[in-house]
Amino acid sequence: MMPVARPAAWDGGVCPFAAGWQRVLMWWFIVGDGLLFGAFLAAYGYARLIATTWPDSSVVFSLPYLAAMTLVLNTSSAMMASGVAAARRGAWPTARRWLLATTLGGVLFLGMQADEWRHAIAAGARLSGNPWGDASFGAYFFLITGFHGTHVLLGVLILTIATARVATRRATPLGIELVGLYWHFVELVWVFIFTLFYLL
Amino acid sequence: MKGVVRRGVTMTDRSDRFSAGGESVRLYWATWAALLALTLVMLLLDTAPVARPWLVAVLLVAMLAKVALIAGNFMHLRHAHAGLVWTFIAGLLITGLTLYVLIVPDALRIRDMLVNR
Repeated sequence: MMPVARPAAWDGGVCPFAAGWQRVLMWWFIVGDGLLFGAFLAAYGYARLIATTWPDSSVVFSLPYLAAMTLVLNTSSAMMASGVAAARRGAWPTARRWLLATTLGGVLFLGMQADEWRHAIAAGARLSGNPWGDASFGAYFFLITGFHGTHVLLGVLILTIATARVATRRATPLGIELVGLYWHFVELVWVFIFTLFYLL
Repeated sequence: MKGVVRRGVTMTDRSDRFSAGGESVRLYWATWAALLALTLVMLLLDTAPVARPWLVAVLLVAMLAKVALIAGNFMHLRHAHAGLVWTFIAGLLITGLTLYVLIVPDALRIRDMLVNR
């Protein structure tokens, strides 16, 4: 006798994780991309541990400015979640407004990061060295924040397309939710960078 | 709730189980406030005269609390199937801890070599 699947125990029927393939693939992407960030942060930790002296981030960077950057991304993420909820309710004009506000939050964050880079470069920070101490500090600063910034830039582009699709009634609630998952992931990574690179 | 029938088995997408009504939006903004409060606490601690080991421990706990809030509430992971949740946790946190266990002793050994040279 052939074994019979038990939906009650598996709870996903023929679908592993009890989620549609789009959501599952998005989560796989998030875990994979998260591992890439994890590798960068682990390499940063290694460089920091073997260094006999390491620059004090609170001296190099302005913590109130970083707090403002965090607030912008945090607010943008909450607006994205509100936009996803509106899309699921079918309130598309409300969803469009939240998405637009989320996009503007992303643009503001990018502008603030560009300004932070401008200050660091003006102070003498380069990939090969910096005026504050261990040479790899500058390299890891540009690598980690640059990689995250690239994700924010991609997120802004995706959000712009999603907003346009909502405006032209071509968007689906699932599509908006997947955009939201990506945007929240960008905030999630910032939590690690903010703590491990800037505060510790 | 959306249900899909395939091969006679009803499949429910658990991510659809979270409410998309006004209460959810309130939850999102409560999460936003909690994240903001945690960030402020972390910043205050960073400038306060706290012993380094305690500072590191508290900052890491606050960081993980923020991650749990974002993944659980914004990304709706708390409504997801346990398998998906563990894929996320095992994929990121356990790999991170493994990297830490592999890297830290080696890094400390190299630093000792550099200092004693």
